[in-house]
Amino acid sequence: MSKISVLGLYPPRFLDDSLRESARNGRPALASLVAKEVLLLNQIAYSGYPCYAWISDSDDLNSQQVHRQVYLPMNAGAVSEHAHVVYMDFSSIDSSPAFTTGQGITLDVGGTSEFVPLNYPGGIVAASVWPDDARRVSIETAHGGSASAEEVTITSEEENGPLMASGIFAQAGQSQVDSATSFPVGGANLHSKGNIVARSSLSLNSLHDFLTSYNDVFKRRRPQFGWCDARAGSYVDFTASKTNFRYIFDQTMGAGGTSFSAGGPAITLPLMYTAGGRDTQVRVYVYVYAAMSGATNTGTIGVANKNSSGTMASGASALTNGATISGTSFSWYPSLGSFDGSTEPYFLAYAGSRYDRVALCAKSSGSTDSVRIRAWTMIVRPMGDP
Amino acid sequence: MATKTFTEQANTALTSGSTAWDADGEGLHSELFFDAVRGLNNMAVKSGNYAVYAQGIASGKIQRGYTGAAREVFMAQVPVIVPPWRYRLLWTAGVTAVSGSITSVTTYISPVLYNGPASTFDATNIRRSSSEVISMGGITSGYALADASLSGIAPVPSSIVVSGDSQTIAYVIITITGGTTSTFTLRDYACWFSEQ
Repeated sequence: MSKISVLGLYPPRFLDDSLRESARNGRPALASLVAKEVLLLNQIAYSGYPCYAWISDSDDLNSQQVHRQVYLPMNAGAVSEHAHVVYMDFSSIDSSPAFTTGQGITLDVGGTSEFVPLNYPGGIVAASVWPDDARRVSIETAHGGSASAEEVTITSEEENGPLMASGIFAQAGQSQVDSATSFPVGGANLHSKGNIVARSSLSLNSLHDFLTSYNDVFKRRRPQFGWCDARAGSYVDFTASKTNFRYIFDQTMGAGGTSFSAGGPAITLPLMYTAGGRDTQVRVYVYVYAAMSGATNTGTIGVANKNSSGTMASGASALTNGATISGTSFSWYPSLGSFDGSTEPYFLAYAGSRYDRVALCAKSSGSTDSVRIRAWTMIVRPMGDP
Repeated sequence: MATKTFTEQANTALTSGSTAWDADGEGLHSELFFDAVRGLNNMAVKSGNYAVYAQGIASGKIQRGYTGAAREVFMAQVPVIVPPWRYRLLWTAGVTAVSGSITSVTTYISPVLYNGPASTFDATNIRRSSSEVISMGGITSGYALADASLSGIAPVPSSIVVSGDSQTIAYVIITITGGTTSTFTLRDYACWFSEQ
């Protein structure tokens, strides 16, 4: 199968403003300019991007760790994925550190999984010390593009080590892709330097691809952020004031408690330039892995963040299109599957300064049951969807 | 070499029809490629900023404490994906002084893992790293945000080599320097890359 060089792992060749003269005031764009833009567009589309990172430190974990996230590989550059895990062979609570069959880490992306065995017979048999004994391992999968929101899990397979101390999951960049299965703007049909673009039918497909690929990168290759309590059976329980929106990481913050402020407890989302055009706000879609403590009440998710002028809200508001959390079994809200930007839960984040401050909150419909959250994912998308 | 221009505003999506090219034989509208010069630069380094948000798993907190003299303490390290155009690393860190005081918060970006002691940070373990220190003024209570989102660490050290064969990985290492006998927590951390 033939390959197309997209050079997503190489430093991009930025374009100089003077190049715009080649396409100004109705002048037909020169093929040399188009060729440069095609190269840069491909590099961006296939450069990969981080989706989830965590720090679990040296927390004593006496059971399996499972990191759980939502991943939206709808962009054209989605070919493969990888995780880089900083781990220790054992945690300090492992009572009898030793080799156990099956020790290792599994990365699963939407059902496509890869296992990397760790710890070996005759290897380290003493409790690890953090960070002295930190090591890194890489795991790659080849799930690739999907029209659906997929679940990603990163699992430490045995109770007796390894301990995943920190790590990152990312869409992988590519330098070459298969021409038949990928979506680059082909270079083969571009005119040689100096020819005038759009004077030959041969240029039609390439130029149409350019437009499609540009918009795909523009709208679908955007940051995403997440958090997960990877300890078995652990979660944040919103018990401080069940029926009021309270901040997940500090339940003194929120309705009936301390008001939010930009410098107070919250999550930093660096979103400047992620909106479209001159917009100062951008949609951030929110997924939560949640449950209720009982079957009587239901739960709602909200956020407090900066408004369109950059002023931090003092209280939280419910998500637009917000899902209703019910039942005692943990599951993703909204449910995973095909992504429809017009119906999924989102809030408008501020993109007019270097970062927004976002407090993810939850509340219950009654005082009997509380909301429980084990993981959340926030995915940035400009308004609408191509 | 000429300076590349990055517009203040982010990109604008290209649309088909009169402002672009709709493949109906009317010919290429040059505005498509005129706009894309800046648009592509922006998409490369601004809207795709390789942002990482990381937080402890246990209620989002990582806590350390010590008795005795003031010192710099290792708090966390997390791998980051380094963009091929790497230049500047910006970051914020939310911290809380539980007891004692916090003098400063530091982020290092290093090509290698930190494998030194946690209780007294030893930067000689990561000799080829670069760092930025944000003063916290000796806070003794409450939440405070160490904000390095303006200048950040620049340039990202050349010891972090970009390879065309594999994704470039580096490590962000976060430390807190406290006063005598202190306990503090790292509450939230975000970092991202920026152009010159």
